[in-house]
Amino acid sequence: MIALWIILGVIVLIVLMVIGIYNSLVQMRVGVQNAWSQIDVQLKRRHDLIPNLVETAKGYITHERGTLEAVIKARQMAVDASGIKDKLAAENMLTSTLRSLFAVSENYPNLKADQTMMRLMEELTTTENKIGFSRQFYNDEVGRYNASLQVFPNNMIAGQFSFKAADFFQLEDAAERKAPEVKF
Amino acid sequence: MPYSFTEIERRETRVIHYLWLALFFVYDLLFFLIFLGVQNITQNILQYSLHGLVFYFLSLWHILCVAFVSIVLTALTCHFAQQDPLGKIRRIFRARALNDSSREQILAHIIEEVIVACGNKGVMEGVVLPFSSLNILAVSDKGGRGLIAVTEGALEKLSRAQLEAAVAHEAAYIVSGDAAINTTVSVAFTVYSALFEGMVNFIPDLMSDYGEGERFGSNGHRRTTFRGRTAGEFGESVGAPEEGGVPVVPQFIIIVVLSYVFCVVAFFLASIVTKVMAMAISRSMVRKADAVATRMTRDPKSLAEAIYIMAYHFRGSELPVGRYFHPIFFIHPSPSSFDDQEGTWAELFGTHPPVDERIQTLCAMAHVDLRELEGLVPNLRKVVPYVPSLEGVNISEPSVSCWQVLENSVWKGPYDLAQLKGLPVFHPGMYVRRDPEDVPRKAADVAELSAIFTAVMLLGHGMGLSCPSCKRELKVVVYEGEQIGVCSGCLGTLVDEAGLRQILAREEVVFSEEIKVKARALWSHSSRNNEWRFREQESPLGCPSCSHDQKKMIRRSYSGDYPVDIDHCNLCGRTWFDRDELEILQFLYENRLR
Repeated sequence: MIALWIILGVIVLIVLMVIGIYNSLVQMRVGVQNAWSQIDVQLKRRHDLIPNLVETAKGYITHERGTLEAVIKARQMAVDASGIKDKLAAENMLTSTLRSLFAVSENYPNLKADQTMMRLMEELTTTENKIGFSRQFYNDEVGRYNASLQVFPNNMIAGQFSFKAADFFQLEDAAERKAPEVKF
Repeated sequence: MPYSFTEIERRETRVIHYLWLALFFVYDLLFFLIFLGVQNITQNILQYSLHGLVFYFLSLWHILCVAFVSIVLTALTCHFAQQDPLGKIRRIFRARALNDSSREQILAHIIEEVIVACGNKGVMEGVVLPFSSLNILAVSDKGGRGLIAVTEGALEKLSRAQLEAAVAHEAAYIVSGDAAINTTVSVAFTVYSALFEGMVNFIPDLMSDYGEGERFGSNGHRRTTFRGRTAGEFGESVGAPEEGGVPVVPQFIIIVVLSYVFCVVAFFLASIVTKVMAMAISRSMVRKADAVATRMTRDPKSLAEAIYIMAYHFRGSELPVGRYFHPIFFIHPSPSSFDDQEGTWAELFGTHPPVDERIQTLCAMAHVDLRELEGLVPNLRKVVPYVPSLEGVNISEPSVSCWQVLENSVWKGPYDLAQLKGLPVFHPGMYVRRDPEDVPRKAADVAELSAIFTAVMLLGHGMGLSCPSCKRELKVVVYEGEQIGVCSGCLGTLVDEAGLRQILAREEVVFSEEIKVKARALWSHSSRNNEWRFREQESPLGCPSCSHDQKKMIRRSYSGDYPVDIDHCNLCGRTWFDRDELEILQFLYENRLR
């Protein structure tokens, strides 16, 4: 009689544990999805800032048409991209074109001195930082989620309910990226 | 030496939770023990003749009552302690919201970035404290809203990366909920200290009551009163012992006295025990916040630099803090605190871990040598060379040169110095160049032009106040981010209290050679005789804004350390500087001449 109660108790305990682990895995997965969408928010912000930047720079940088056009093209590609791989590639490309633009503008102290430009540069700097931080947070969340999927006894429950590991936000292969051309 | 910030974070989180639980357990246990002690004293004295010396346990009923009382007391003190901590901090430190200036907008951006780095958890607001010391603090309320306050000095002296690391450290408190725990922790240990102090001060109060309560008995002998009874009544009871027991009234005195002594000692020991635990929690929180800041920014080097710079700068003993505020600061405001020392005493009673320990941990994480940090802080103790007095020095007019000014993306000019002065808009942030081939520079970086900025009318409109010496209208000028009044005739300036603090904290303006020479001459002259320190007299000048009352200002030196004569109005807090005095004061202040 007592043995029956014990077995029942153990079963109840196991069921409670399974429920607890399942819930925590679900929460972590939602956390990962949320972190991904946060990156999107910052990326969109960057897209919105760039046209303004190009307009301001156009008046000063008359000899660096190529750099400016590369930025505009990269931005359009990033806005149009769909699918995670394409998006990642396009955003990385946009980052590198912006970097060339900043490097070029070092030669134009008039441009640097312009009040609007200074404000825009600060806005872009902070947006780049936020993109970096949101990617970092996303990767941290993915790391935690993937680790908890593989730990025992979570791995059994994960397998049962088909939880899949998430991908890290990584830089693409150098070969896949086309380096922007800067014409002088 | 642990290198991983995740390890440190996990370890310190565990330590904090255990200590916090232990603290509340000890806090309630001490109530029990004190009650037990008093109960035993009372019962033993009352029942001594019947049972002798016995140890009395508490009955279940007693235990429940004491438990109920202590829990209610704890809940009440916690509830009242957390009343609007944000508002309190704003008021006490005179915080102001961030304005449109580029530097403060950068701080606003930094706070936004840190919020993103925490996964957008948490609502945080940034404010500026009008002090030239370097420090940062953070508080949060029950709803999870946080406030991060940065001093003017920190905003000025830290680079963007260092400021970001320090803000991330403070944000870590808010996001992890440690700021809220800190409030309850500091309440817990203050209760016993307050009780101890209350009881210790009770005796002197009682003694003064005794003195006043003397009555004279009918036979002329002095009798003292005690709660309305005369000593005669006592004597009657003492003289006639009751059957089978000690008389009640002297027992009462003994019980009260013994209980009192017991409580004083018990509260003292309790306050020490709870304080040690609370300090341990505080130190763990700082270590954890350092680790979380590193996780957020991935930049331990900047955090180490920020700690180093703050530790060797003026950290804020001027800040209006009571001792219970210290844990919320990034670095302890008083440089002579335990935090800079090591050893057992500092291990027990410091609110922050030793500065060296923090820096070493972070440098180890960054794989950086400590020596690299030493170049960050310029030599603060400058040796002032002897400069001959003003009469022997020839100050020539700066040579006339031609300057072009960048205005609305167009180069205008060339102007000479007089014309620059006359420009409707000309401020230190604008770019200037001598000729088209020259590299443009900010006007603030050009030494020759700095003399202009004190005299130029930037906004052009009057303040509605007149100069105390020559009665001309004062014009509003923006100087180092603050609006001050300048007289076009005698070039004297009127500055209000908060504005003066900000001007001294900021270091935007470059001083002309004339100012430097005058400042050094003043310094060397005054270091020879010390009477200027205490000289204070009524000024012949009336305060421009209180003038309708004909209030005269006070003429004195700015402070015991700086021999610059100012006229100060004690009513409205404004200060009047004669020509050049403000820059001389700034020069002395910024260079910390000693």
